[in-house]
Amino acid sequence: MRKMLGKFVVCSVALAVSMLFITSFAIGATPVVKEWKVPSLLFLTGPWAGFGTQVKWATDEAVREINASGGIAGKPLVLEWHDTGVDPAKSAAEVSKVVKSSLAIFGPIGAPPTKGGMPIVVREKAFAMPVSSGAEVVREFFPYAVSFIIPCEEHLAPAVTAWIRRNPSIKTVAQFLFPIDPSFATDAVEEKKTFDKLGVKALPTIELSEGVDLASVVVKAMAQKPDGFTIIALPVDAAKIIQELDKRGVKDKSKILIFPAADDPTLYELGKGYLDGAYVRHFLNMTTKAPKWQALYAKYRKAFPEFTAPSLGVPYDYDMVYMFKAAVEKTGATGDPKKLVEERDKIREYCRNVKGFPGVLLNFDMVDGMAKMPAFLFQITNNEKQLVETFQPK
Amino acid sequence: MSLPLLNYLSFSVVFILLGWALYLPYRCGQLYLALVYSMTAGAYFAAYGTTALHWPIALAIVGSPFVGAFFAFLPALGLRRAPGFTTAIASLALIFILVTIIRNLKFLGGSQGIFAIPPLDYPLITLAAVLFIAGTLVYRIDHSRLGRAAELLSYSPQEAECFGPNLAAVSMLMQVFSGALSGTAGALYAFTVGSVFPDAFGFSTLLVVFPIVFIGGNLTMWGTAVLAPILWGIPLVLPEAIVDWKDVVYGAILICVLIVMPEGVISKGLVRGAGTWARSFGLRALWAFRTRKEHASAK
Repeated sequence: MRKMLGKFVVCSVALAVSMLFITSFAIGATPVVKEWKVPSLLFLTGPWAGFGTQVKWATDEAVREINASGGIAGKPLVLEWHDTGVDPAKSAAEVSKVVKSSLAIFGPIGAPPTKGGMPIVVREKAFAMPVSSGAEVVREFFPYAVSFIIPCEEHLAPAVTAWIRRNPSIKTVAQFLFPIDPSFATDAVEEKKTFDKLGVKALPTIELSEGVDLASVVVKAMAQKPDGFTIIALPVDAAKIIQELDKRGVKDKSKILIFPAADDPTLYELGKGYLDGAYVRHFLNMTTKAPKWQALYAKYRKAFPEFTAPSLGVPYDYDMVYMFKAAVEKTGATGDPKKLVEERDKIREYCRNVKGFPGVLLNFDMVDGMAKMPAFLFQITNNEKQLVETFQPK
Repeated sequence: MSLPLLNYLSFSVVFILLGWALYLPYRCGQLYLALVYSMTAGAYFAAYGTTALHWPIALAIVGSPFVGAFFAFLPALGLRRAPGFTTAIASLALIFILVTIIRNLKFLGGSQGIFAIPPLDYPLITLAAVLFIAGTLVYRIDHSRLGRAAELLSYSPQEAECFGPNLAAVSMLMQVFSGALSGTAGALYAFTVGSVFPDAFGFSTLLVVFPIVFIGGNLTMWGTAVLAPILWGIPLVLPEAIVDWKDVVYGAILICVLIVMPEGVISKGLVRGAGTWARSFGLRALWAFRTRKEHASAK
């Protein structure tokens, strides 16, 4: 009896150990988490909240689609929203709450929150995706971040060159600059360098400031008797500048080049009737007929019927969510807190160098954290952008 | 210690220092808004010193109050005799002047700023030491002839003149001390956030410091020390639905407190009462301890 009992105990223990051994492999292959919780940092309040609403919508929409099709590796994706406002200190506080426990952080978006929050990500060797904060800002934090916006020198020079080529009579250019963001000032410097190379004289920059009278600014610019104008300002100011130029006899709008961040629904609302002929240089082509984009755009128009053109954060932050999904699935991440560092590193490396990622607008490669995408030149016709030239990345 | 808690404590100390920097000149009746200006100077000093010049962090922290004081000293030469409103406007302009200069200096990172600033090696000790030293300085100033002269100046400049103190010197000294505190706050900010850039220093910082001082108590240093951690911490713990309205909440509290309790929540009377209570509690505790000791030795 005792012998039988002893055998029974030994066999049970052996069986239990074997089961544990076998199932440990199974546990390693599937997620241990019930859901993928990802912190998402965005300016939900403050002066940029309007842009933030659109970006949040796009991010949430990607999450809805992913969860409707089974989630990530069979588990739903859940975002935890954190408001950074436009305050670097607030961004740092929010990042510090989530940096140690997250596989990836969506955002922080916007230059000040990125600069405030990303140093903590770098110190903790974590991973964040401030994909639409601007290449010049984000690359300061490589390799712990990725940027979908291509650097200024890659998208600006070809477009400016093409604009001058299309307007050979332009020999001098007046530049309107509102240095509200460091990337705007960088754009202005790069424009001047390009004009120098083309033999076009860049006249002294006309700087705008908050609340300035734009009529006087335009008069100051016109006094320099330029052949062309470039506008590096917010959409509202860009629209008003073009109206003021029109009032002072600048009827040929092809002599005006608008920079990407001004290309916003507000520009077309306020500038209606004055924009036709003007050129827009951009690193995004939202006039593409790509099916995925057309489907997203249709949903966007339903969500924001008052806008005809989405903010640039919409396609970027939508793609950001899908890239995270691909990274988790391709690297076999499980969400196991014990493997957090290892899995986070793999996800980061995947996102930094993925090739042929199927973005909503186009397929693109990532090279060392920076997207490789074409640049574009548009011309406004009937208050809508029409693509005129595409410049492939080198 | 967890990172969020450390971050919270660091910013609490930064805002306490900035609150005291606003409080000291206000003792003379001057609304001196150049704290962000001196904070910017201190922050960039610490950032440049530790990144480009590879100074030890301790050197940057020790040097930052002197840098902040120096930057405050220069305009104080003109603002020491200025009336309250003029001081407010002129000191506010200093922020924009310095930030514009920094934007145009490439070696300070221009519009981009300076990154990869190292964190504090011993953050808790450093924060505690800075707070203790700054608090002692403010306390000693408050309870010195300088503090009493400043208080008289704020109540009645004409009477103050009759008592003989050099009022311009009093005002200037308070502004310089304010600069020293702000410069230190700037250095701590730089080491906490890890980056400094022109956009980080602006009017929005003043909007955080104002409620701390005027709700906390603008006639005593303790109001700032108590309210800064509370007001800084509120948005971090509020539910998402209410966080959007935090500026409305701050504004409403500020208006109500200024109307109902113009001195702030922590008034001088409250501080005196608390001190009296503490002393009497201490005396009673001491008496109880002695009595117990005598009983024990009698046995």
